This record gives sequence, C-alpha cells and structure tokens, in this order.
Amino acid sequence: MKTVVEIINKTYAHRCLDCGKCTSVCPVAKINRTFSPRSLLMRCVQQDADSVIKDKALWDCLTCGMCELRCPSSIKYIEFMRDIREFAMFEGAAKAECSHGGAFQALDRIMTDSNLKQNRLDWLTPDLKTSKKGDFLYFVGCAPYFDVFFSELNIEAIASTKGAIKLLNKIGIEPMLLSDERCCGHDMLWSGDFKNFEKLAKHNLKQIEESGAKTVIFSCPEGFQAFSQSYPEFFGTLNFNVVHLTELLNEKIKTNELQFNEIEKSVTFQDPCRLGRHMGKYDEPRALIEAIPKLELHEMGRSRHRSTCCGVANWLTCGVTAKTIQANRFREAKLAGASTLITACIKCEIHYKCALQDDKLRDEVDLEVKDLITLASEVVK
Amino acid sequence: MFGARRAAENYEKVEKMLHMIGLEKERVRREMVSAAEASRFAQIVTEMIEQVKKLGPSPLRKTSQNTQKVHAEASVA
Repeated sequence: MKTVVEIINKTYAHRCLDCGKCTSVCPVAKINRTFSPRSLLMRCVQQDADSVIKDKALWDCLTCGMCELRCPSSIKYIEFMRDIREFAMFEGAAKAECSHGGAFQALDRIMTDSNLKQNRLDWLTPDLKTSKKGDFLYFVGCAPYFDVFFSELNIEAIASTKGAIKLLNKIGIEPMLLSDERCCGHDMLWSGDFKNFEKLAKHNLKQIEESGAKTVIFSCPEGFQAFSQSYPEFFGTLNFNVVHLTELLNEKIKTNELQFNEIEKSVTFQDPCRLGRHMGKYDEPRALIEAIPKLELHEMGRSRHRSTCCGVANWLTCGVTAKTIQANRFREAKLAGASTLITACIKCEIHYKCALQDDKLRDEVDLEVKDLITLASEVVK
Repeated sequence: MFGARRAAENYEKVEKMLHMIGLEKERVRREMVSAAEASRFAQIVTEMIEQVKKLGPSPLRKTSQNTQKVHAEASVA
C-alpha cells in the first residue's frame, strides 16, 4: 500500500500544469459535466486527498488512458487512479459498486479460494484439438461465465473462445487449457482490491508454471494487459511469453499459411482501450480484418489511439453517461458508413449489445455488433 | 406473473453459474408457492434445510468469512 505522497511522486502528479487537457479529452467529462480528472488529481496534490477518496467521482473514471495520452507533463493518470482507489478501499472511505449487484466482484472473490474445483471447460467439443502437454497455453478468461450471465444479449463469448481454438488449430497449434483457471484479477486491481488481485494472480502463475507452458496466448485484451503489464509490475519478470492471438495469426497471414473465405460486409473497428492505448496493438487486429477478402474496413472519425472507450470499465460505471457514450459511438460508426461494428473485447461486445436493447437507438443506427475472433473463425479456410 | 418469470430466468443462470464455479446444484431450489399454501411452503423449507445439512458447510465458507473480516477491519481503520 502506498501513501498519497508516494502515489503523487510515483505518478508525477505534482507536474500538473493545470492546463485541463485531460478533462477536455475525457469521454466521461464530455457527457457528465461534473466529472473532472484534473480536479481529482489536483485536490490530491493540494493535500485534500480526504475529499477525493470519499468522492463518488473517483469510481466514474474508465481508466481508458485518453488523459494520459494527451497530458503534456506525462503524468501517469491511470496508475494514479488505480492507486488512489486502492488507498480509498484501504481507508474504508469508499467501496467499488458493481453495476450488476456485485455479481462479478463476488465471482472474482470466490475464485480466490484455493479449494475451488471449477467445471469451466464444459463447452469444449471434440472437434477442437487441445493437448495435455506442450509449449502453448490458451488463457480462456471469464468468457464461460459471461456467456451464462448475459445469455439474453446473445453474446458470442463461447463462440469466440471456440473460434480462437479453431484458428489456433488451423495454424498448427494445439494449446493446453487450464481446467481450474482463475480470473486474471484485472477488475479487482482496477477497482482498488489489490489483496484479491494478488491472490488470483498467484493462483494463475502457479498453475501456468506447473503446466510448463512457454507461451501463453490471450484473446481477451484485459487478461492480455494484466499479464503483460500488471503481473510483471508486481510479481517480477514472468518466465513465459505473453502474446495476443492476433499477433500469432498475423505471422501466418503474412506467409499465406492462413487464408479466409470472402465475406461481403462493410465494417468498422472499435479499439478496446486495454488492447489499444494500454498495449499499443492497433495494427494487429486491423491486419486480421484486412486479410478477409471483400471485408471493407471503414475507420471511424476517432480511431486507433483516439478511439473512445466503450463506456464501462470493471463493471463499475454503467448508467446514463455510459449509455450516451455508446449511442454516440454507434452514430460515429454509422457516419463512417459501416453496417457492422467489430469489437475485439468481450466486454465491449456486452456493453454495445446491451445498448442496442434500446429499440429507438437500434432503429436509428441499424448496426450489428460482431466479435472479431468469431467472425474470423467463421470464414477461415 | 412478471416477477415469477424473471425469477425463473435468473434461477437458470444461477444454477449454471454454480455448476461452473464448482458448487452442488442442490444448494439452490426454485419453487412456486401460492399465499394459500402454507403447509406446502413449510414442507419445502424443511426439505431444503435437511438437504443443505446433508451437503454440509460450503467449501467457500472460509473465503466469505475472510472477506467479511477484511471489510470489518477496513471499516474500523
């Protein structure tokens, strides 16, 4: 646990010039005029951290990283938010409130139990080839749970997971799977619960070490970000490689070993903030879209590093602001001339499909939401 | 009827998620009881208590106690 002064020093918060660029680019502040990342940071610097940790606005931040990108003083904004939230939780001043009645936080905390025996691989069908021992391990993530919880939204969580293994099989990889894999802890960490993040991470690291995997493959951007950045930050260098599925697929696309059938569609791509601004992977998912013949990619006005977050992070901030962000994003996609919005993150997919439950919006934008990996697996040769 | 329908939908999810997380599905049960069926209600509750007693304490009991303790400590601090 770091003190407020340590957090300020570590994230260079004291360098703030009060220019307000962070607030002017913040997707939340655009809709919710009372929210200001600059104000939260400045109040901590001006020794008023007590009011910040009691402020509900602290939990409205999406940690999407837009402010950090634009800050002329290179303040590590998202790390600042993460650590201040941990401090607030420790002080007992606030508690992260899950928009789904605490279901996902409870799920994450249950998964910290070492006695747990999960049945999380029931979806695995015999046509998907996996191995018991090998160099590659595929980290499934929480998709099986989301598939049940959001069944009424018709999300493609299991379809995407199956698709990922199908694509891996096509490029000659039969990955190992962990039968008792835990949540990566991403949501716990970003909502201030470091203790449970640590427990989850240790379970995962131990299991991966026992499996003997040399490369761990991710299709979930949040898991990918947690293993690439957060795990090494807190637990030292990992003794295995972490790659995103699209990176592996791109190697094979370049050598023409992976080919796709044509599909006529005009699409646009929503950069997930974890894959984009956090990890800097903008070209890899786009290369996969471009490898599919006749699939036209129309970029939205704000794409790549300027892309807007899907509006909800860590299950914390669902509400009017989030729904407005999503509706505006749909309008932007429509303006770009796309008929399908492609996402690479299961949570973006859930949030966008939930926004389309609104009949008025659905009639207005007339868009379909599709997962990138599912789409690729459906048309792979 | 809306509440009952909604409960039925939620119950399906709960059952599936409990199975996935590794708990026995006998720990939850869904029944429709009318306000006029007092004895049936009592019977169902008695049956449920016996069933849960047979299953014994949840393997996750320790975790939930620890979580509560952490919260209690945090609010004291």
